[in-house]
Amino acid sequence: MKVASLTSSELAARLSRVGLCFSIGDFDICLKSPLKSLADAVLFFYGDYELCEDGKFIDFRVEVAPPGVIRHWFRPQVNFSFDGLKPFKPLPQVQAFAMFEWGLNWVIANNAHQFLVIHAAVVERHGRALVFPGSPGSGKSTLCAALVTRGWRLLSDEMALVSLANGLVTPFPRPVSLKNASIDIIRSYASDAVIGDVIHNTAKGTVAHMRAPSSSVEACGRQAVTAAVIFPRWQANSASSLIELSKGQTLMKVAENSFNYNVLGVSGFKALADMIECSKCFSYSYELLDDAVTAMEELVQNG
Amino acid sequence: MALCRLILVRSAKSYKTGDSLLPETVVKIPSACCLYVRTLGNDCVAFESASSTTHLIEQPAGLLLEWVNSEPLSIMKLSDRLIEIVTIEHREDVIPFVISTVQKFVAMGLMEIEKTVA
Repeated sequence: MKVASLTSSELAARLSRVGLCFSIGDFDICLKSPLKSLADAVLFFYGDYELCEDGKFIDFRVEVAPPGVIRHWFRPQVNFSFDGLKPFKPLPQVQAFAMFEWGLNWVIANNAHQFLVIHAAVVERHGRALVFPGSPGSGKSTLCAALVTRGWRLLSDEMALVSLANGLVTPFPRPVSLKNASIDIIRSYASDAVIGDVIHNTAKGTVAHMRAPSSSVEACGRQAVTAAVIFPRWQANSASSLIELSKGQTLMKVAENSFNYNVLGVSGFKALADMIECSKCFSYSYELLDDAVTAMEELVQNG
Repeated sequence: MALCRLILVRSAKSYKTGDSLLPETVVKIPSACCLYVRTLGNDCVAFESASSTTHLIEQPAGLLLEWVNSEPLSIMKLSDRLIEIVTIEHREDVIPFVISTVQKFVAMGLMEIEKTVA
């Protein structure tokens, strides 16, 4: 039974009372919130996700709620909490869905230590996954969104989950976070991309989310083998350029982009070294998304 | 997170190990230092679990660390193994490199002298 099988009012009631429990990849999440706007956003972005069966163990219980009654009347705000802990300062209520997304990232990065968690987007085609680590603004989400609109499977926009048990990348498909200019770039690149409300003046600038394709959500139980690790970089007036990196340098750069490499110790090192050993490693600069998509297609086809 | 990039062959820093290294000197990995060494393409990466530090080491220095990580070896033995791989005929060209590289590893605490045979 999927989230979309609930009516808007059923979903809002469940969110505000017991919490809405649904599965995202390997994780079962329980979200509680009294906000109607968040209920609408969850229905819009997470309609294709499976509801958890009653009594199922929930991995993470989170809440997105206003801080107090008085503040409701004056510039309303919202808090994110996880097991009663509030890791962030409150944000304007209009940013409630974005805060849920950012909060969930924080929860996974700080708690899912059965994985090496890398700050990276991951897409897959022909059974071969491409991992795009990168700092904010490097263009990884834009490239990821463009590939997904061309039929690639979305594993994650924000974090690559490398299983410590088998070295495979575990899908965690969620809405793709587009920022600033990339919102209009993706709108014009793919008119069928499903993009939600644009939120201005966030800590990350202007933000909008693109819905994960249903096919990626349905395939969220299927892990993938990493074929290449690519550091993308959008650059104005530059030709598409794929430059091979040494594996040692790549390991160091990916470790810097990992959320929990330092927590995992030797198991993190082994998982990362195994992944890098079996992958090709590149830096990739591009200006035009068409060129980038073609280059990535060629990369997975040519092995 | 501790990440350490080493470019041993190009390092200009002089290290003092306290002991001079001779061809007969046997070096080993310190017992307190649990080291995991992997060769990835032309690079070597080493993870030191006690300090959670990852080192990127250029070859052939990485090979020396990998060999010593398997068993204590003398400078001479390390030089011989290196000569086999790089196919250099003159040992006198290789021994100074091995000594200076081992000195750097010793200074970093990744190797220690097991015994020096007089």
